[in-house]
Amino acid sequence: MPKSYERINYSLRPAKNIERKMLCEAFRRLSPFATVESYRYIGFGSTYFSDFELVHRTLGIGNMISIERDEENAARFIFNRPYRCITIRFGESTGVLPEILWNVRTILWLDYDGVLDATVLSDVSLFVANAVSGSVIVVTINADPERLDPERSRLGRLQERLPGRIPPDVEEGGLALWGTAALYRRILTNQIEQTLVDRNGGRPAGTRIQYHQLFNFQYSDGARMLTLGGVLAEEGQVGVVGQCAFQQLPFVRVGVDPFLIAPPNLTFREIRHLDSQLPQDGEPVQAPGVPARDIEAYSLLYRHFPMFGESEV
Amino acid sequence: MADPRDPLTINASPTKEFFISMLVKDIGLVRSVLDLIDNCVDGAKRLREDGDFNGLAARIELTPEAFRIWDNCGGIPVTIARDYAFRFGRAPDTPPTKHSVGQFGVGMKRAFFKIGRHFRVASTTAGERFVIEEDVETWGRQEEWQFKFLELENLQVETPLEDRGTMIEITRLHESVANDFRLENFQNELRDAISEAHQESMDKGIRITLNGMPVELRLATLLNSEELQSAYREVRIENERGPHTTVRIYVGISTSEPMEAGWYIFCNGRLVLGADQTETTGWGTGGETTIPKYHNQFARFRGYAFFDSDDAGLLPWNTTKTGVDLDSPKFRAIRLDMIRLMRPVIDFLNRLHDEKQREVGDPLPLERSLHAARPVRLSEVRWRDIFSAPRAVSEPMAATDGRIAYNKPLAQIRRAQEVLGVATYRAVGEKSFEYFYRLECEER
Repeated sequence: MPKSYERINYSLRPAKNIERKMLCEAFRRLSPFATVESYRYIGFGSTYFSDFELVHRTLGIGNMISIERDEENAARFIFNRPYRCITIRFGESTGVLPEILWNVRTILWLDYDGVLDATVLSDVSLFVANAVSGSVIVVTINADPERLDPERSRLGRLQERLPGRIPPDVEEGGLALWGTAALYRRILTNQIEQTLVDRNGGRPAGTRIQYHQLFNFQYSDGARMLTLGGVLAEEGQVGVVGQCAFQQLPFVRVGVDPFLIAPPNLTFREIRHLDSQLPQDGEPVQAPGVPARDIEAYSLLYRHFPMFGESEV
Repeated sequence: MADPRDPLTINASPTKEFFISMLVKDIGLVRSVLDLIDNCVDGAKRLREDGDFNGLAARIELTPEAFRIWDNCGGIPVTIARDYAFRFGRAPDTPPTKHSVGQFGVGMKRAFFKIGRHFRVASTTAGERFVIEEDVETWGRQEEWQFKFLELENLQVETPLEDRGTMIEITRLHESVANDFRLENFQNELRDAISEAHQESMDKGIRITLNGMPVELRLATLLNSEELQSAYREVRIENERGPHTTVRIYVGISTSEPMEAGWYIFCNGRLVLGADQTETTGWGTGGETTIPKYHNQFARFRGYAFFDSDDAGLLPWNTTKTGVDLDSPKFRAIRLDMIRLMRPVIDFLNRLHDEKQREVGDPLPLERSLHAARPVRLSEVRWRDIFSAPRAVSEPMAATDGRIAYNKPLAQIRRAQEVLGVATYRAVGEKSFEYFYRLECEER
């Protein structure tokens, strides 16, 4: 049983906070395609608009659309909009996305609360089928394994939810822990590849669109979450993708292996002490009594680590 | 023929039986007739590269004894007849007809065999004329893959424009064909199929008659107004080898007709798939989340995709021109566009349906927007990337007010009018409700 101070802070969601900052750092590297300010950002801002604030503040993007399904409370969302450059489009993403013109380089973050289902695949397909070269897609879904039920297998329930999408080699035993997240990554990637085959049918060589995975985050602020994403680029722009140098970022993952965001719980004093020894330079990083694995985890995240405090803003 | 001297040789030569009796099973009679009209249309395209077909005509005559089709679309040049037009399958060096609807080199011969056992083709161009006549059974028994010119002539005097054309006559009809030709219903079916399949050519001016009656030109229209606007976009697909393909896509709404709702796919102006309500054109994709399965609630939906290319071989049709080639990369790419464009229309039709269910307000705003819209020909629909329609369903009034509507016997309503002392039915409804509410629901 972990000690109480090692438990996760549900209300502040530190892993999500870190993920947001890492994504923004990666987005900044899109500049070989076009100045990042010229991109459009589309997300699910909810009432907090945390991603919108960060994207606008750190990247200067001013063309922003938040998709909000809760039309009944429209007034509240409009009231909470932090900047006037954010347009709120009310409706389900499946209905709103086809109503958007896809002629602008776009960063789309489909930050769902729910699990992978046909709606998610439909949204992903729509974007991948239409987004222009240099656009980025990021998908976050709940990847907790299905609750155990002696009557119905996890695999059976997944096959029901995602008919025709579960590869034949998937086994019941492989779905526990992060196994479901790995499967979701595979299904999402298959969907992207399939859509691209269709889309590229009418295009001559050189202009065919390819997907380059950049993000494969796993984290758990309570529920297990998967964030998968990457950049879409024309074949002829492979060099431009290279110039972005995404791979220099330690959290970028281009394959099956995920980057696990597992922030340790540390005191401010411990954080300052560790920071003074980072970035690591051969010498072992230490703090009295802090387990080595926490120090290791912190060393990977320290530049994006949130410091939560009580304040009145 | 297997070479008797070489035991390693295997005979893979075609049989005439395959063309005479097998191939015809893949196509319906109506479609076969449409294939013969395709020949007339291609004649028109060779003759009038500017696409103005005024003055050109195709006349079809069906009787239980014979099938005839006559056109004044320029005739078939002798060299084309000798080397290409009567071959089974298109030869790679066939001189191209720009933007043609004939493509596979199978339609005309297949139609001959489908319809009867004897055919005669007479064609006259500016300087030549020929007649070919064959008995299919006799030809079937011959070893050679050849037809013979019965008459062949270089003309001394140039043929007047109106006499340049082709006449095809098929006799010794198959019994089932003769039976169909007798039926008025068959003729009606054929007439509808022609007017649907060849609307673009007819719109360009070619006149088609069936047994003396002109086939009516019915042009597709979409409802449009200030607030209700169809989507229309054009996509240009480059080909690494050969000319490009242009695809025009129109999506919008029209009258509520369950039999006519759906997608229409044209290749070089020829309808190959009509009123499609299947997954081929996107219905029910994504486990119904992307697009729901077709349902009569969508009976107003219309989508049109026109694939056009100078090289007909690049278009996604199948040989019977009764559907699209689902494996065609071009079609699969365009299908993604079709799906994206149809979604806002589906959403609008869903809102329209909800509005009717809820009966808020009177008159209903979405219904009203439909009444205000006018049918517009596709050629007049302006470029617009996304279908646009009024949203107006969750207006604030919906939250506080509801509408009740019901029918009651007139005698009772009139009696209630007298008792209440009101002039309208509406007032009867309101007063009687208020009375009930005051007595039964209001807490004092």
